[in-house]
Amino acid sequence: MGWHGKIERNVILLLVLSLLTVSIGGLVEIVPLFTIESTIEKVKGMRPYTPLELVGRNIYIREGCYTCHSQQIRPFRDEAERYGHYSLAAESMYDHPFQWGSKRTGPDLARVGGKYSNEWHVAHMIDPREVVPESIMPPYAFMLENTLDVDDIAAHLRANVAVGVPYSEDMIENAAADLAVQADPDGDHDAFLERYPKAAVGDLDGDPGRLTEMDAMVAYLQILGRMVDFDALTVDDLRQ
Amino acid sequence: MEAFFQDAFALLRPLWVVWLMLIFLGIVVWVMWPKRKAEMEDHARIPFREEDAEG
Amino acid sequence: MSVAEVAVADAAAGRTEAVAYNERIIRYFVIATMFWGVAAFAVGVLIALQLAYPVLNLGLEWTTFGRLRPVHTSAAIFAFGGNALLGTSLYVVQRTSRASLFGGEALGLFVFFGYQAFIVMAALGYVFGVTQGREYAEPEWYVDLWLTLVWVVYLVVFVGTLMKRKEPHIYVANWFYLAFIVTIAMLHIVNNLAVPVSWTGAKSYSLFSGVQDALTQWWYGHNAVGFFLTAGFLGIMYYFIPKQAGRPVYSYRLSIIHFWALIFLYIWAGPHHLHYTALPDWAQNLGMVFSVMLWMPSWGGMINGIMTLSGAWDKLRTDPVLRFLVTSVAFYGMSTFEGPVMSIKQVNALSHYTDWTVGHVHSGALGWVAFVSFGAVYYLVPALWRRSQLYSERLVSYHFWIATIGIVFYITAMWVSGILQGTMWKSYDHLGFLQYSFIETVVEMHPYYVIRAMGGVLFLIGALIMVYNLWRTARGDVRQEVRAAAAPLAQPAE
Repeated sequence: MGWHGKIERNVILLLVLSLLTVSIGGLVEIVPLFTIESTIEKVKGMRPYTPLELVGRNIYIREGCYTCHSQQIRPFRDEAERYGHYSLAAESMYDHPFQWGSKRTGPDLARVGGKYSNEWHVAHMIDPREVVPESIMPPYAFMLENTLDVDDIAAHLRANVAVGVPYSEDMIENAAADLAVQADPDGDHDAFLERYPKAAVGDLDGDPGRLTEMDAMVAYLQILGRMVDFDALTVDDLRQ
Repeated sequence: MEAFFQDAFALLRPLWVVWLMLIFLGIVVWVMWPKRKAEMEDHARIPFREEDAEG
Repeated sequence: MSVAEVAVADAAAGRTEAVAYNERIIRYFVIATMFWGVAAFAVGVLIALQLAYPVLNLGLEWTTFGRLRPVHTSAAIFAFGGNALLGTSLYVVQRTSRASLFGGEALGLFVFFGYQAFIVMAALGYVFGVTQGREYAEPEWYVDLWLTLVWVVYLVVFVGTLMKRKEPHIYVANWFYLAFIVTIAMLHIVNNLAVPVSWTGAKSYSLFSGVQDALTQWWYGHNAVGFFLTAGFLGIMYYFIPKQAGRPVYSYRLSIIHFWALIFLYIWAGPHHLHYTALPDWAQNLGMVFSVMLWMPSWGGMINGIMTLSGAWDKLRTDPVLRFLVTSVAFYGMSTFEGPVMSIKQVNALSHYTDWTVGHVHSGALGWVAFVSFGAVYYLVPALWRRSQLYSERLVSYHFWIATIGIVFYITAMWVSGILQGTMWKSYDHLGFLQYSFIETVVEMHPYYVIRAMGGVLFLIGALIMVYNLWRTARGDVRQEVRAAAAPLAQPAE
C-alpha cells in the first residue's frame, strides 16, 4: 500500500499532515518578525496615542476609513512628493490593529497630520464636497453631533498595555482627565504635553463647549505621521 | 542570541528546501508509479458509486 | 470502461448500496447560499454606485461606503461562498463516503443555524460600527469565538462522516474540503487574537501591532483566498464537474500532486500584499517567489478540471450547467495567472492601491467562486428536491450569458481604471512636477465606476433569474422549451 496509501485511507493522518504542510510557510515568514531585532527601526519620538487620539483612531476603524485610505507610503519618488517620507515600521508599532490599508480610493493618510487646519478637517468631514467639489467621500456630519461617550477610557489604555503598548501608570491614572483636556481651549496642557508631546490641543472641532467624536477624529488625524523625529534620523537608523 | 537565530535560519532554510523537495518528489513518484494506475482510475470513479435509499 | 459500464460492474460486485443520506440540511444550505448571494450582489451594486454617485451614502451613519463595504465582502465570501462550501462539502462527503452525516441531523442543524447566526451578528455589527478593522476578518472577538465553536462542530461532522465511510479510499474532493476546514481554523484563530476592553463590551485590541500585525493579517487574508475561495471550491470542482459531465476526473494522479503542491505553496504568498511597505524585504521577496511558483499547481488544477471534458466537448454546447462549471475553471485559470503577475514587485508598484486589485479579486470571486457555486447549485436543486430536471435550461443559458457579460464589464472597467490611476499618480510634467493632483485622478475614475456598477447590475439580474428558475424547479414545474442542439429532431415543435 505504501506510505501515501496510508495517508489517503486515514482521515486523522491526512488532517495532521495537511495542517503541518500549511504551517511551514507561516512559521518561516511570521515568527522571525518577532525575533529579528532589525525588523523595527530604532527611531526617536514614537509614543502611545493620547486618550483622545486613541478614541479618534477607534472611530477611524469603526467607520471603515481603511477601505478607501491607506496609511503606508511606499519608497517611490512620486509618493515621497505627494505624501512625504516613506513609512517606517516603527511608526505603526503601537497600532493595534495596523491600518495600512490596501486601496487608495482616497489619498494616503500616513502623514496627513499638520497638513491641513483643524477647521479644514471639520468642514471636510461635515461635507467633503463643500471643500473638494469632486470628492466622492461620504459625509460624516454626525461626528460633530455625537457627544463623545467614553467612560471607560482607562480600561482601553489597560487593554493596550496588555498587548504591549507602554502606557505608564501616570497615563492610565490621568486618562479621563487627559481625554477632556486635549480639546479644551482653556485647559492647562503642560502636564498633558509632557506625557504626550506634539499632540494637537485646543478647540479641535470648532465647538469648544462639547467633547464630540469630531474632536477625537481631528486629534487623531493631526498626529498622523508627526511623531517620529526625522531631523534626528540617520541612514543607519533606517537600515534593516 | 540573535546571531544564533540568524545562523540557525541560514543553515536550516536551504536544508528545508531540499527536504521538502524530496518529500514532494516522493509523492510524485508514488503517484506516478505505473502499478498504481488502475487503482487511481478506480478512485476517480468513487463519485459514481453512490445510491440513494429513496432515489 | 465507460461510467455506465463501471456502474454496472460495481453494482454486480456489491460496491454500491442504498444509503439514507441527510439531505434536509443540504437543502437549507442551498437556500441560504442563494439568499446571501443575492444580498451580497445587491449590496455590491449599492456600494459600487456610491463610488460613482456619493449622494447614495444618504448622509446617514449606517449607510456609508466604509460601513457597507465589509457587509458586501463578508456577505459574498462568508455568507454566499461559505454556505456553498458548507452545503456542498456535507453533500459530497456523504456521497463519496456512502455514509450518512456523523451526528445526524441535530449536529447538522447546529452547524447550519450557528453559521447563519455568525453571519447576522457580523453584518449587524458592521452597520452599527462594530468592527476590528481587519480586512475580511472584521467581526469582533465575541463573533469570532462563536464562529470558532461552530467551525469545530463542522470539522467534527465532516471528519466523523469520513470515518464512517464504506469506501476505503478518501475521494480527493474531501481532501480539499478537509484542508480548507483545518487551515481556515488555524488562520481564523491566530489572526483574531485580541484582548477585549471588557467582557461586556464589543471593543477589543489586536494582540499584534504594526508590521507583525500586517503580515499576520495578510497571511490570513491571502489564505482566505487560498483555502476558503480556492481549496474549498476545488473540492466542488472535483465532485460536480465529473458528475455533471458524467465522466471521471481527467487525471486522479494530477489531483493528488496538485493538492500537496497547492496547500504547501499557498501559505507563503501573503507578503505580496505588502510589497514596498515597512515589511522587511526578505519577507516580501519570499512572498513574491512563492506567488509565482503557485501558478503551477493552480494551472494543474485548471487543466484537470477542463480536461475532464476531453472527448466530450460537445456537452458544453448542450448543457448550460456544465458551461457554468467549466467557465468557472477557465476564470480560475485566468485569475491564477493574473495573480502571480501582480505579485511581481515591479508590476505591483503600479497595481497596488488601485482598482486593478479590485478587478482581479472580482474575476476570481464572480468568475470562479460564484460560477462554480452556481453550477453546483443548479446540479443540486433537482437532485435534492427529487426533480428529474431543471425548470428551464434556457433560463440557465440566459443567466450564464448575462452574468458573463457582467463580469467582462466589471473586470475590463477595473483594468482600465486601475492602470489609468496608477500611471496618473506617477506622471510628471515637463518641469518635473507631479502632473496630477490626487483629486484629478479620482475624477477620471467616474465613467469606469459607472460601467463597473452596470456589470454588477447584470450579475445581480442573472442571479435573480437563477432564483426564479430554482424556485420553479423545486415546485416541480418544467418549462416547455426546445432543448439546445443536442437532439433537435427528437423534440416536437412548440
